[in-house]
Amino acid sequence: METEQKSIRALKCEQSVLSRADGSVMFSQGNTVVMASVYGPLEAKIQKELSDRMYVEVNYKPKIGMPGVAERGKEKLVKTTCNHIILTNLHPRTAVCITIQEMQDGGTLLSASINAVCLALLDSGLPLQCLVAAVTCLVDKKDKIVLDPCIRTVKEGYKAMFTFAFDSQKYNLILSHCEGQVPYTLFQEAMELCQKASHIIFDFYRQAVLRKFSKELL
Amino acid sequence: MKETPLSICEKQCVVQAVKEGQRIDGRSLSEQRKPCITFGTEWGCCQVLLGNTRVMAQVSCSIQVPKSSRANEGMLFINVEMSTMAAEHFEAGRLGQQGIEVNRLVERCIKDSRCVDLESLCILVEEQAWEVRVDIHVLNHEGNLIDAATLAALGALCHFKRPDVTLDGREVIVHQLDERDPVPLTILHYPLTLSFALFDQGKIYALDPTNLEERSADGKLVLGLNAYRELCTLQISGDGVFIRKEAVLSCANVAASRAVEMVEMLKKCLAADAAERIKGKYDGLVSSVALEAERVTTQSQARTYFKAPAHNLEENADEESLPVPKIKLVKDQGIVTLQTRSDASSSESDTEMDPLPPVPVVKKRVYEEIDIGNDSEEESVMLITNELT
Repeated sequence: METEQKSIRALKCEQSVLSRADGSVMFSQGNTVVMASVYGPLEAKIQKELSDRMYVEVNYKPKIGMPGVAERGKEKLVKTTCNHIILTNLHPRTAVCITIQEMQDGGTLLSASINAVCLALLDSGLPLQCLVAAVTCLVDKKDKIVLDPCIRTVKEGYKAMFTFAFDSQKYNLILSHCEGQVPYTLFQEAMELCQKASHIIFDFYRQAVLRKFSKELL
Repeated sequence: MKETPLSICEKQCVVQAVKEGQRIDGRSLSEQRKPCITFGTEWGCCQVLLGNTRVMAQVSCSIQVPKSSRANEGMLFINVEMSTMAAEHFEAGRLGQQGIEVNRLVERCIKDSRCVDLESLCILVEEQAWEVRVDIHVLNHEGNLIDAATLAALGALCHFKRPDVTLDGREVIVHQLDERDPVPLTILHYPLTLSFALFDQGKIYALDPTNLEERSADGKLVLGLNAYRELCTLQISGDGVFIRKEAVLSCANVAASRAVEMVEMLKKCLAADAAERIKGKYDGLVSSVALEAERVTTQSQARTYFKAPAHNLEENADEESLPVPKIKLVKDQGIVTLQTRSDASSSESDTEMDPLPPVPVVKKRVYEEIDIGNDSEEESVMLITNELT
């Protein structure tokens, strides 16, 4: 099979965009725009306090209506990813509050949210074990794998949609969220493709952080 | 998390400066921060930046049964959302006292002034009407949430377009957005709020207070005005504030001229947005992400191409030659289980089934890189069995 050219849509970010949050970012992937903010380490509520580590709280806010079950699902996925990458043992009995606001839906909200949260955590200075990059791909009705689909492709219908998140050290799989039904070979192909694509996102993080510290503070 | 308490020296500094006619950020007492308005790709999405205060509003609509007291009108619902993103003391999902105040003032300015023509939103009297919902999200709180929220809500309402509806006798047909062009709302006038922070028991007032000025102030005066200099809303709050009527009138004059300018600016931004859309390749809020590209906190990267990893399908057997295990339902004393061929005891057709082909090389390679854990040869096809037996 010939290897074809796959692509990740244009990435843009602005760090420290909110003046009050400890870490914040406005992140766009293609036409999807997401804002993430991190406050931490904060004083934890007594019910949520953990004696040996930091409690990670994630709030996902949709643009329209009240948060429902789908939002709670996304929150859980982001929360498990964050629990893996944040060194929670260093700040026991505190909490970190991560809020994700949907600004514009251009498809791939879950992976854009995870990427935005990673950048916001970098901006906040919380100690991290590794970085995380999430990539979405979908298998359309003709069994073709589309990487980083736009909203029009998603609305046309698909056989399956996968979101994979990888760590920055060994590119191991941290999170895998799948909807739909496909043969195993397609699933593997999608995962390999997303793994390769995650390199681009890690590169983007590196460039963003390098640029932020490129000027000397007077 | 509680809000950091305001220290006495901070408060005294602000109050002293205001008494001398100066403000911390260098503005004059009747100068407003310059608002920055951007719109999104979806109709009815508006983001407003008032200095560092950032608010986003989104309008949506749905068909509901109209209220029995106003059977020939549509409905307008305004909802303000404040989350921890805006400030550490805000709780997600619950509006505190400040949130309720913002919500109520935006409602009074926009809903009670009847700036949106609700009668045009009626489809079938007493049966169907449009309910327009405005969700206002406060993203960053650096003072004067009321003005930013009202401006965002008004901008979103002016920007919004609802689906076109045709009545075929008693039948209502809602057209999709690609079928027929959506229809904008009828806005009768453009009301905006302007807030003043009151110092020295109401003798001195500062327009568009920052967070620090708001907290140090004795009280607040909120005026709702439209482009025709008509007063829509008035609220004075704060204990120990004795504001004289001349002061209210002079505030109203300052606010009225500012309101006219703001409505002009809003109309210009709407026209610019419409022009951008016609050009094509409209990306909405994306252009506001790295707005000042020379800042070191921004980073942009164009669409990046790479070569997909080679997936050797020749080594794999074709789909047809991989035997698909036939799954049949077996009822055993009322318990239904799914049996694959391999564990069916009656073996009439067992001999036909070839042994499963060995796992192709590619799969093993993936396991080394991805490290899922279980490298059983039979795993690929036998997964269903493991779960059910």
